[in-house]
Amino acid sequence: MTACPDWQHRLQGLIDDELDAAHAAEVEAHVTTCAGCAQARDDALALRRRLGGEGVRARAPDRLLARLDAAIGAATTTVPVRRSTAVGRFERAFWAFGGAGAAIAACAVLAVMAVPALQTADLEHQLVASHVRSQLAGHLIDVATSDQHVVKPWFGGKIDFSPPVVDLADQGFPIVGGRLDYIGGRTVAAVVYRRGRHVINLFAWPDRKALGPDEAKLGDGYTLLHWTKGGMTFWAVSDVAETDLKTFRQLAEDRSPA
Amino acid sequence: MAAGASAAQVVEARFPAENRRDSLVLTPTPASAPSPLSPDEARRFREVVLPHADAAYNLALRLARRGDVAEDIVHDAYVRALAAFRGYRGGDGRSWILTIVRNRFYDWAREQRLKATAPLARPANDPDDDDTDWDPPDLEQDSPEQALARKGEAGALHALIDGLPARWREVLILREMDELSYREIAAVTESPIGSVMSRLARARSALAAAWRKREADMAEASS
Repeated sequence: MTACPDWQHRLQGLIDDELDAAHAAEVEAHVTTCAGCAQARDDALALRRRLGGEGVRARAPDRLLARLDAAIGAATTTVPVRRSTAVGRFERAFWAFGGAGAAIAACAVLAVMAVPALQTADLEHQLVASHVRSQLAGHLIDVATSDQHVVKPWFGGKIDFSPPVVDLADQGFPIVGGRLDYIGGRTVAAVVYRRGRHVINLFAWPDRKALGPDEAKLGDGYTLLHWTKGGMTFWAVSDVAETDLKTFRQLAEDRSPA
Repeated sequence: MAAGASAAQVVEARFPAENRRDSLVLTPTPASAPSPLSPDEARRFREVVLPHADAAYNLALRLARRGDVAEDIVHDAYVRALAAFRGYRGGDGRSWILTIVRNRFYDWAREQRLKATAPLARPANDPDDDDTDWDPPDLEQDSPEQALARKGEAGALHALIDGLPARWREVLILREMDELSYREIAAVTESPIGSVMSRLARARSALAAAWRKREADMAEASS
């Protein structure tokens, strides 16, 4: 009993979610009438489950990580390089030629917009750095549990606020654990979720004011989403697909207390 | 296997052997060392490329099937990525490093193949010399039966995957473990999307059959 050769490619497309709705419906209809293709699909899904199992995916040994770290160090100059980006040139030109009026106007603009924007950019950078660090150093979680009722009290003894810890496992975002981190000059709570093989760090700290744009997509393969609710500021950082992270935000926002 | 032959031809056409000669995995870094990265660029490298070290090692290990070689391949790939990072224009850091890792693997495999053809260069324990895919024989592997009996489920999966041709292993790893899309896999492996899908289908079907056999063998052994 084998899969039909004619359907082979489309069947893979269905398994890998690479088909548009019309084609997916077509293949699904075929699979209901063809035992061979149904078997091939079930086999592929079972294989996927096994490949996601414990110890199947190899992790880089510490020795290798140390070598990579050394290689980066060796490839980096020790002399601070003068910034020569377009922004730097613009700034220099601005201060060289701008009149007093322009300077005053610019100060006002900067005070209102640019400084918060810069702070936000720096904050985003720190969040991404924390997300990256958390995956590198085996420092992902301080408390490892899939139980929200364990994570929340764990934070209770360590920080002066109580971050909401919502269970999203039924929506495909199981909790992995929690940890403390230091972002933007304060200790923040990070609840770690998983989506497939991707990790989502959900940072939370008390702050009512909304900052920056509602969403910020960094070019480095990481997406950041931000929202405020119940007096808390939340940042979700991950390399999952942007649509997944938006779903995650929606769910987390809906389920956290107002 | 007409499709397989044509896919191999495509790969050969896209990876002409003469372009690969200067980039063997164990050769030292070129003398014309690139200018060093600024601290800012180095920090960006740590954010964009370094987090994919696990994925890089996993791919290298399943392709080379030897931990020491996989570490060298990944290290070498990162050295090259560092040298090229200034020209990096954004995009997915994972696909980028995986592409380099994969190319380094084929360079290494080709080097092994060249060594293997020199009659006195290595012991004659190499029955698999007609391998057409620059895929060196898996010297560390037990016979499949031994491996399956000895190892747990993860080890058994490794042994079964390692028994597949390299062109199948890579698409399977990139799809199932790195969750790359067909387009990304096609770009990383420099193959047409149709070949990616064919190899994926064959790899899956081969593994499903092998797994069924394993379960039948285990049921028989325990009865």
